[in-house]
Amino acid sequence: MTNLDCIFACVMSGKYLSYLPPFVFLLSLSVVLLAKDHLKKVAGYWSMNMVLLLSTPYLHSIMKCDMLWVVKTYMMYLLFAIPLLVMAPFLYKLYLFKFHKIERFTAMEGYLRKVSGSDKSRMYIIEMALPKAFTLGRDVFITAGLLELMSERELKAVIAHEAFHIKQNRFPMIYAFRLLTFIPFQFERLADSYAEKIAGKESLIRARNKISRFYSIS
Amino acid sequence: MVKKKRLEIDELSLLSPLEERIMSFIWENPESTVSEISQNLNVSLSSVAVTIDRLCKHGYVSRERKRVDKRIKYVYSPVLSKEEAKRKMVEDILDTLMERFEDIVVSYFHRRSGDDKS
Ligand SMILES: [Zn+2]
Repeated sequence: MTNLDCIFACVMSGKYLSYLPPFVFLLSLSVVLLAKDHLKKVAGYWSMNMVLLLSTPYLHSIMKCDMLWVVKTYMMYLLFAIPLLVMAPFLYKLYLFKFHKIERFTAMEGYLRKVSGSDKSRMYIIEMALPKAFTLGRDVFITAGLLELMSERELKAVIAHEAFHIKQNRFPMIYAFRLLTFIPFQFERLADSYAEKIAGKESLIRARNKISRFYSIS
Repeated sequence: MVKKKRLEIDELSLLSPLEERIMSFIWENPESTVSEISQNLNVSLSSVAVTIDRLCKHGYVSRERKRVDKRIKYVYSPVLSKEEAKRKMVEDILDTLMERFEDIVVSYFHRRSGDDKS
C-alpha cells in the first residue's frame, strides 16, 4: 500500500466523524475553484488547510495500519514548523527595524487603509535604493528606491496589491499553509487582479515594467 | 580584505572597483541620484542601487529625500572628503588588525618605535 492508500483506508474504516474532514475539504476546494470573489477563494483555501491540519491528530488516533509513521513524522514536522512560521513575520520585523533605517510614510497611509479595509495599517519607508514592496501582517513596507521610481498612480497600484495581502493576512497562518500542507495557492495573481480592479490595469503594468527594467541588466 | 594586498602607497583602498567609481563620481557630483550615477557610469540601476546601499551602510555616503515638483527623489552625497575617507580606510584596517591580532600589532609598533629611536 502506498502512503495515501493507507491513509485513505484508515479514514474510511474510521467511525464517528471520519467522513467530516474530507467533506469539509472538498467543500472548501470547490469554493477555491468556483468562487468569483478573491477573498472567498482565500477563505476556501484557509478552511481547506485548516481541516487538513486539524484532522492530522484525529487521523493519528484512529489509524491502525503500518503507515502510521508517515502521520507521526508529519506531526513532528508541524510541531516544529508552526511556531517558526507563526513567528517569522515578527522576527523579520524586528530584524528590519534593527538593521535598517525606517520611517513612517503617512502620506499614503489613508489610501492604504481605505483599500485594505484595515484602519490600523501603517506604511513604512525603508532607506534602501533597490525598489521593493512587501507586507508584514497589516503593515506595508516600501523602499526609498520604489518611492522614487513610481509615479503617484503607479505607487497606488503597488499599494493596492499589498493591500490584498493585508486582507489575506486576516486569516491566521494563511501564508504558512503553503509550507505546512504543501497545497499551492496563487496569492500573487489574486493580489494583482485586486490591484487592477482598484488602481487600473495600466498603472499596475507600468509599475511592473518599471521594476523589471530596474532589475534587468543593461 | 587586507589579504588581497590591494594596498599601494597612493591608491590605498578597501573599496571594490565599482564602489570606487561611484565614490569618485559622487565626490565630483554631490547630490546625485541613482539613475544619474547609472547613466554616467554606464552601470545597471540595480548594481548602482546595491552598491550605494552598501556605501550608505558603511558611512561613506549619505542619502537625502528631496521633493521636485510633487515627485520624490533621493540624492546621494559624500559624507567624508577624499582625505577623510582615506584616513577612515587606514583606521578601519588598523581596527580590524587590532581586534584580531592585538599582540602582533602592539609588538610590531613597539618594535617600530624602538627602531625609530635608535
Ligand atoms: Zn505580492
